[in-house]
Amino acid sequence: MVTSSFLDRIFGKTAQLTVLEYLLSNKDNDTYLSGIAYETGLSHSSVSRVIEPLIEQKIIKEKSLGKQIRIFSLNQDSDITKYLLKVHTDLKTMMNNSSDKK
Amino acid sequence: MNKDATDHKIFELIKSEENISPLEISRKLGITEVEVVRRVQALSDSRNKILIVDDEMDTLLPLKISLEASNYNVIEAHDGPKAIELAKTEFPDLILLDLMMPGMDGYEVCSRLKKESLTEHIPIIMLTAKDEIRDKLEGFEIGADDYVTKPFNLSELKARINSMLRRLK
Repeated sequence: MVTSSFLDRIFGKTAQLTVLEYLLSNKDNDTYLSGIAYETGLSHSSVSRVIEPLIEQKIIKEKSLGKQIRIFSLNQDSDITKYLLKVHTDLKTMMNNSSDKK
Repeated sequence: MNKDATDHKIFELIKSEENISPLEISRKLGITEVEVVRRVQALSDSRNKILIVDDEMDTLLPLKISLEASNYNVIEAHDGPKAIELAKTEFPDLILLDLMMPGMDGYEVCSRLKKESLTEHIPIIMLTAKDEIRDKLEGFEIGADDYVTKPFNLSELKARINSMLRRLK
């Protein structure tokens, strides 16, 4: 399943934005590399590459599960993440309202 | 059970009980222990994934072994329809596509993949015994990204693969 994105209509489609939007849309769920790949249509290696800067910026948290599973979730303690969540929600509302008016 | 549903069930089982063994998971899900181990490894596998599409095992197997030895995650399809299915479900980083296959040939597979939004971005290297310039041009016209003539030099093919994967980053 590949989720649709509305941020790419504004900012252009990049793998990093696709992953960020997926995690913003699933803010309360833990997920794993192949799960994100499956939901976004990106390859595992692409997800792994673009998630690193998001972890460095502390927007995404990474934990280990068992010996080898990397799990990811939105770091909702971060002010940057809180701001991104607000922008994401507001933009989504605006774009839905805009398309309803057409 | 589809691929992701099974992976997700494995993930949820490990999340709820971190020390659960592959054998216990296999019993709960009705799949083999080997399958559980393979799937758990794949959950966090970040290696570049290459899909080889070829109906000739004499070409496919040595290529697969060589690429795996170079730390690529290699998946294989032996015909066009399977190649299209795997491209849409496995999201490979690159496809090595044989041109001459019974049924749906490499041109048709390439053309279909390049028309789908889900797969259009995946680079395709055509592998073929055809060395005519018009065959190569036809491949490029329908969206192939590179073209290698059989018999190919493995080192050269790997260099082309690496070059193409670098461009994606």
